[in-house]
Amino acid sequence: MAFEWLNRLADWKRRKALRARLDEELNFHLDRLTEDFERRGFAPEEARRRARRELGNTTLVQEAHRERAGLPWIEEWARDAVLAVRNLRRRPGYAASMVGMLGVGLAATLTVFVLTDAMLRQSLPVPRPAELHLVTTPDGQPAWFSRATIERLQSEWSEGTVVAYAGDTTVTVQRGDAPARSARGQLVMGSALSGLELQAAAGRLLTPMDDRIGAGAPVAVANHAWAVNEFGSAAGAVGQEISVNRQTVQIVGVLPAAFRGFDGVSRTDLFMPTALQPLLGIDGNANEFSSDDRPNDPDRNRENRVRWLEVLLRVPAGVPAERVTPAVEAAAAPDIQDLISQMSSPAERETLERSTWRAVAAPAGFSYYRSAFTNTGRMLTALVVSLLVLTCANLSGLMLVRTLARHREMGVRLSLGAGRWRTCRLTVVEALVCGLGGALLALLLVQWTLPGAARLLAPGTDLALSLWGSAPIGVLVGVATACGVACALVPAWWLSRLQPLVALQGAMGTGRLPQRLGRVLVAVQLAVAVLLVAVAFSLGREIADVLAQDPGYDREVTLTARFDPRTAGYEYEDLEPLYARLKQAAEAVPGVERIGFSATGILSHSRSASTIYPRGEGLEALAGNYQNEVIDVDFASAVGLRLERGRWFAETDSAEAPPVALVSQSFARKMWGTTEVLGKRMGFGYEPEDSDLEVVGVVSDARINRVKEDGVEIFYVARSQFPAGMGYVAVRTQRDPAAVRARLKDAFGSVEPGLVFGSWQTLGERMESDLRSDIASSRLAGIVAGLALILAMCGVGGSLAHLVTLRQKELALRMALGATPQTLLRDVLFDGLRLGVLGALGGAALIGALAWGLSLITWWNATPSFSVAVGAAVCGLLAALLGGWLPARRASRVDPQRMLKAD
Amino acid sequence: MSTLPDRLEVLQGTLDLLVLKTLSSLGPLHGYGIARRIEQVSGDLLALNQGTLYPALLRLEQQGWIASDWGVSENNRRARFYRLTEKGTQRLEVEVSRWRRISAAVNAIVAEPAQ
Repeated sequence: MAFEWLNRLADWKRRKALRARLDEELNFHLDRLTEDFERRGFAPEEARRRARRELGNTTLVQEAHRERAGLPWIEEWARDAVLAVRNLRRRPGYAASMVGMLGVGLAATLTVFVLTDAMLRQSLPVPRPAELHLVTTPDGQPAWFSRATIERLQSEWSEGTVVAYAGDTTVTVQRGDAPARSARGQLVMGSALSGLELQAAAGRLLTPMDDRIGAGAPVAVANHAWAVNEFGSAAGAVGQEISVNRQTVQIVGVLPAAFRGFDGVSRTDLFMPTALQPLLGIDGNANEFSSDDRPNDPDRNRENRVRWLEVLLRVPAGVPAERVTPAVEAAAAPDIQDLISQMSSPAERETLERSTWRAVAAPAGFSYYRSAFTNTGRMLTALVVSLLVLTCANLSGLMLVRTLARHREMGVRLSLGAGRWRTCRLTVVEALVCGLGGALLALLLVQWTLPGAARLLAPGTDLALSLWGSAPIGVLVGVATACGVACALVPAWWLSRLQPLVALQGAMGTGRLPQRLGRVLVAVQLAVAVLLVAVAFSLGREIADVLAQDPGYDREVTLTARFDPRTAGYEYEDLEPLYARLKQAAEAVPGVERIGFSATGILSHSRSASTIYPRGEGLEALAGNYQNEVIDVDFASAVGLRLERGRWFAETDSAEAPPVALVSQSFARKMWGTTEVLGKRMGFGYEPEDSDLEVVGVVSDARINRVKEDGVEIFYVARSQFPAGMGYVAVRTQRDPAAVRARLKDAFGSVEPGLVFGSWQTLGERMESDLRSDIASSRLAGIVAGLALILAMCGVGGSLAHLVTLRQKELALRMALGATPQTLLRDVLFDGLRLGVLGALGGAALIGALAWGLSLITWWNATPSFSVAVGAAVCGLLAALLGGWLPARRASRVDPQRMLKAD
Repeated sequence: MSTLPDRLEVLQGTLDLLVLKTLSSLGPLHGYGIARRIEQVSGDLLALNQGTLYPALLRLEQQGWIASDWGVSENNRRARFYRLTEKGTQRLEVEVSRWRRISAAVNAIVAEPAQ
């Protein structure tokens, strides 16, 4: 059967040739028959006539042959499509509404699909990405290994390839005398890029030879887009020398354009061998900048105890992934033993002894962005599905109204012998044509809005957004078809029940059911709109609540920026003079009140943590890894942190003075409960030492890492006692900090031209930036809710307009009998109100179901409350009333005489 | 030919069998040849509407039971020649067997004496 249909399809493609062949065969047949008759004594004309009779009606033969050589159902659908286009062209307003509404719904679907596809599903652009496995800790985070472990793994695990790399970081890049700029740099093992089986777009990849300390001139491989941007072309970048963190580095190759980084989501500009780590001074875990005993030690990154490299393993088909874990454990065992031997804490030793790993398939690499986007993706998908349901309900109602209005025409068609199936099919085809138009419109809209949507919803990423791939187009066509069919179901069902003779008499013959169905569809739209409004309200209110809370610092008068003296090539002894110069430059700017420095800063997306042991009876169990921050004496007052009790750091807290610490309220509560914490001691080592910290103050909880965190357990130490490199500057101003931003930038730039300052933001801007994804989701939900309300309004309007049309005679009669226009206006508006109430109740039920459903999942915070539900329901009611206003006015202006005469 | 007044119409559903059998017996033939052969073998008893043969030939070709190529006829004219495929040979066996069973059944019914 399938074989026959394939042949039919092939014949359909060459149907013209088949037609010509038949004509030739029939002519041949006719000639031979004529010859036969002539041989039997007939005159030529008579012989020809008889031959024609013998052959039969050739038109019928050609018709039968054509049918056989074609695909009748395709042709029928094509004819229906042409008819549908003609019908739609006759009613441009209706067609534009259908296509426009579907286009918006489909555009939202396509945008969300392309974004989630790029963020969550796209594989790394390397050969056989399915073979890549990430070695993770048991909780799914990438595990870090020392270089020694990686080298053992490379030599002992022969079944696949080992790809090792450090996390990417910001580096300072300079070309000639041009101003220094930031770029994203990453240290990778010499075999990492070739291990991914990448091919250089120009030049060559890194090799293990490049990754040997003292191997020669430092080299780097550049990202394609970065190379093109900097040097005009990939080939032009090869051989160029640039300064990276004040070290001269030669670009030896450019990666293919498709490969942007190991996580597939963010872009890394420069890939350099791990041997450059001490030279470049990056990756603090492998090179303690502040460690005055071993600053920039070339052998530091070779140490077993420094674990800083993530690992992707290529596990070829046929090799079970389970074999990876034992291999990793065997390779890491000597390092773990080495670490354990250095530890004095039994608890830490035990934890380390239980170290285990697993290999998880990671064809897309590993990205922290991805997990952050998962919830946003879920919410967007839910919004889009709701919008599509609403759109389909709306369009279904619109089509039903139009079909009902055409009942006489349909009756004529059916009476003239048009098949009922064909009539129903015409409705479906019309909806599918609209779906196709909507899909084309959606493509245009998405092409236009996609980059903006990506910036809004996935900030900080460099996604490969492919709108024209088979998957997005397939999804678009699939959803458009499904929507088209869904929109046409109700009108087609009504048509299947239409009695032609009854329709010819001007009645619909199916009772009030279609109208009721139309009302149900409108109520469904209103209910979904009410639900979406409630979701948008909830999200917006949640953000407003978060922003209204006191973050624990002064958001309005503090300007902040990030900088990294290590990547700018400053040595340890340069730092104090650097801070002094910056301070002097800032204080010369009018409006600047105070300037302070800290290591990681507020809402900077970086943090520092250290193991800390509280001293005292029974406190061993509370020892653990706690967040800490190194601040100078002016930082707290510059950002407006509040002191609860005790004192701030003072000039007297010098390197020679006993070490002191400030702790957050949450930290104090966690360690010492309700007892007084001032004077308590804690240390970095297991055993008490003279260098233990004494708590001298308690700072109120502040939203240090995320705006949406409740209280972070953090302790602060003084820069004068713990000489860490400062990476965050906070400048307190007398008035609007944005006004001094430009002058401050200039002042810093003039005193330190080689130092790059980035992320110049007030603390208020940092808070909004931190909530950017939530704000984007909330705005999107607001837009969708607004659209939903407009659609529902159109639905109510369309339904009531239809009602008025159908009841015109009745309305005219009522007016003739004395009813006033006001009565009719009130009646139709009341009808709209009833629909609104029905929709609001339905919406309230959906909100209740949503609140119940969301209480079962953990990632959602913005559960709609009662007041939100009421507000949303009122919006739905107002939409129903507004939608009903025009039809009601039309009803009140019916001319009874004209209507009754027309009847 | 249509000179005999009492000719029989080809039974519905038997055209495939007749075409396949003709091609099996005579080898490649053009449409005119097939029609003539069916009429000749049936002793001019079967009246074939010759035009209906061509859609049937296309159908058999789409089913893969016959194949066709252009060739030169006895009077040196270009004609389309149809031939049986391997699949068609197998099909012919099925059709023949079915026909035998049907005709035996019909014969049995017809031969049954009146009660």
